[in-house]
Amino acid sequence: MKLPKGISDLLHETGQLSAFVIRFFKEGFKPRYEWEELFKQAFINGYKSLPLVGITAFIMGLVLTVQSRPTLAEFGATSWLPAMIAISIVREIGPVITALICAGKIGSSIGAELGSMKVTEQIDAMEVSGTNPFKFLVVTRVLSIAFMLPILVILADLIAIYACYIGVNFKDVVSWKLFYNKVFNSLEYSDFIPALVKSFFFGLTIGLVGCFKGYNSQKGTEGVGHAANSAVVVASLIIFILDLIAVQITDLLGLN
Amino acid sequence: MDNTNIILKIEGLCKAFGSNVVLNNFNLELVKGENIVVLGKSGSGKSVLIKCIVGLLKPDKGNIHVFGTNMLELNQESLDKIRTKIGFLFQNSALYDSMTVRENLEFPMRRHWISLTSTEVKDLVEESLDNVGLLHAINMMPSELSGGMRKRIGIARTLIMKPQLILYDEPTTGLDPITSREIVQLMLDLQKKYHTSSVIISHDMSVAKLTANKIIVLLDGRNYAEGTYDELKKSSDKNINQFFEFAS
Amino acid sequence: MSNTKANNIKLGFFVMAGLLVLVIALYMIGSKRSVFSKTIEISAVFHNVNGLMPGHNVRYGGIDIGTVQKIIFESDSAITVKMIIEKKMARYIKKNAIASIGTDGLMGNKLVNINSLPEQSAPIEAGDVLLSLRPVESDEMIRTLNKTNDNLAAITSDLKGLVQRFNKNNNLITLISDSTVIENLRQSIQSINSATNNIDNFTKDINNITKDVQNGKGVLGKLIADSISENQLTVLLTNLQQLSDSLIEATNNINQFSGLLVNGQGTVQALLTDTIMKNDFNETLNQLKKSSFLLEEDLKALQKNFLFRKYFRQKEKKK
Repeated sequence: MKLPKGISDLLHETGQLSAFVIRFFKEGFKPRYEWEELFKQAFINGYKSLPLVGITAFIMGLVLTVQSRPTLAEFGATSWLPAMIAISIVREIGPVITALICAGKIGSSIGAELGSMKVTEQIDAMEVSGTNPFKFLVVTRVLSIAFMLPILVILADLIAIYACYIGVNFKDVVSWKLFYNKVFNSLEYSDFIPALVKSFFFGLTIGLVGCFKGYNSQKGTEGVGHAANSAVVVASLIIFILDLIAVQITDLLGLN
Repeated sequence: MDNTNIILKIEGLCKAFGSNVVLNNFNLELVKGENIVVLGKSGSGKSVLIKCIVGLLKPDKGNIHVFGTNMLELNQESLDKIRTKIGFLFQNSALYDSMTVRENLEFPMRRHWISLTSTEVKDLVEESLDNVGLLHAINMMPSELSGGMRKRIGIARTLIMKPQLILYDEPTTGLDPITSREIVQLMLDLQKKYHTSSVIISHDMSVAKLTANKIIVLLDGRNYAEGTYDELKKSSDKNINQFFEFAS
Repeated sequence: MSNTKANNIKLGFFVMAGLLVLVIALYMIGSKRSVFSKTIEISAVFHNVNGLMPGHNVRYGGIDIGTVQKIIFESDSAITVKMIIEKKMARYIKKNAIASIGTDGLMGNKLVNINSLPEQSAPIEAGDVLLSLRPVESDEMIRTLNKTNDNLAAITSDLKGLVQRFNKNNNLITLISDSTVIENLRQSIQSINSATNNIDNFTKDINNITKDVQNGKGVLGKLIADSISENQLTVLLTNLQQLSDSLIEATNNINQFSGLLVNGQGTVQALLTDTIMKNDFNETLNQLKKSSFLLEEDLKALQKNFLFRKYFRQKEKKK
């Protein structure tokens, strides 16, 4: 049986990616651990992404608040604004927006970096000099993003909720105390925990896809560009698919 | 046969990528202190050959013995150990872009000689850079270096582990003839200083002329011809002659 | 190397900030859900939980004091709702408090309301089972009672007016020859008929309630604690009292009037040729007597009932 080229390519790619993911889990938890590189990557991928993520989160929180107000005002329910915005930020907007921003920023840079390292034989050079490049390059990057993304999401949530506070006070007067009481009265563990677990997997996705695309980059500068580009596209798509799966799992567990 | 004098021995090496046969029954024997130049056109499988030697690629068939050890039967740990005695100069130097020159040179050491103190590491880095005449570039990033400087740094990084066997992948590609000559001279100087043996992959007959104790012409994945520079020059085979036509 | 260290410090700061926010957020949510304060578990058995779910709030006097922990089916008609409430609040809640299921706001979450009764009782302890009530049923009951009440009040006032007119006006001949008066009388008697039926139903209802209360089923107890407030109940009871008073007055009036009829002041008798009406009238009067008697009895029974004791006591004091 002959499959159409598009489908067989997709299956081939999926198979390769799966093998890559399996390799990551096989090698990622065996010594030796590249702590220094892990911290370095955590600094680059986590700390250095904060300004971008923070600005995005601030704007999202503010815009969402201002945009939602008229609809709620129709019901005379503007007092629900803090609770509503807080829940949508914590549950969905925070994790997904942060993950997408990071897919754009980190995914592409990893795709390009590993792609050019592959093309210029730096990965081979590492292997020859006795360093497992998979551990040194892939495992550290993937783990750093997976652990940094939830933290970025938490801080983004905080910033977005603060932006919501500012947005609410454009037209109403709500004290900070009342605002945070309303926010925390509406939030539950079942809003927070699944969102954080979800972010962790979003992080894994960004790292794994970025590294996979870079590690398997084709020769030449075009190949590097393609690696960076497809890292972002594929990672973003998988993030949305994971989001869909996550919402169904939380629903099954009765956490919605 | 005196095993101790044979650094590298390759027997019946075969490697194919899909239906594309790159190496087909290739043989090579390198004696201590000698330089072998493997000549071949682009795409003739020269790079594949040396990548097989260090275990970056797995051959389909054949044996590779380095220092009398079969490279194909080693586990990862012993492979890493034996790799410390093999230097590998990549075609484009393969310096780590994200690291300074110093970190580039420290990188192979951190992996193996963990027992070294920081001053010892510092001394070794400086000595190695001094050997290639680029001590002043120690804190520069690879992107700030010219092609020739990158090559020298690459050599310095290769030498820092004091290898007994150095594999050069196209050492003069992308360099102007004058810089090429300087690099070749550096290779010879260092060989004298550290008593290394080398396999040099090239398509450049001028490199072969200056460095080779023996030249192997690689064609269709096998030993097409073998001999010294002078022996091959006398050959009437047009496949061999074309290498001489473009040599300076 | 020093650069690496500085970067690691920044990284550490970043991670600590994130974790700190997380911990504070989790604590804030937890403190709202009484996760970290000492708690005790109590329960209440309901017939219908109206969509109550674990995690919903438990309120006492309008303050959130805990959450619903678990909802278990005990039998086909009994559902045990286990609640976790803050230990420090336990001493304000008495053992005879009544749990009901309500809604927070118009469209809000379900919640368990705990309401206290005026009677003295020991504070609750872990494992106590609170009395509960069926909100929908008591609602219906109250509605029926009020409606019956209104009907009765309207009818008796009609009747009263009519009878007063009879008594005041000595010129009976003029009165009875006026056909509209006869028509009115006929209508009134029909009304009394239906009113007595209503009163019968009403008294049956009251009887059931009092029986239930005395049998400890607690339906009337629910009346008090439910969304229908004590105020409304007071109004209801006042109505009942007024109603029975006016019923007695009405029957007295009718008695006087019928006395006149029976004692044969000739003209009147002759004029009242419609014997069917006369019979009807008498029968009605009998029923009315019987009903008002029953009502009186029920009110007495109510007064005796402990749930209403406070109300009647206050009333007596006022006198």
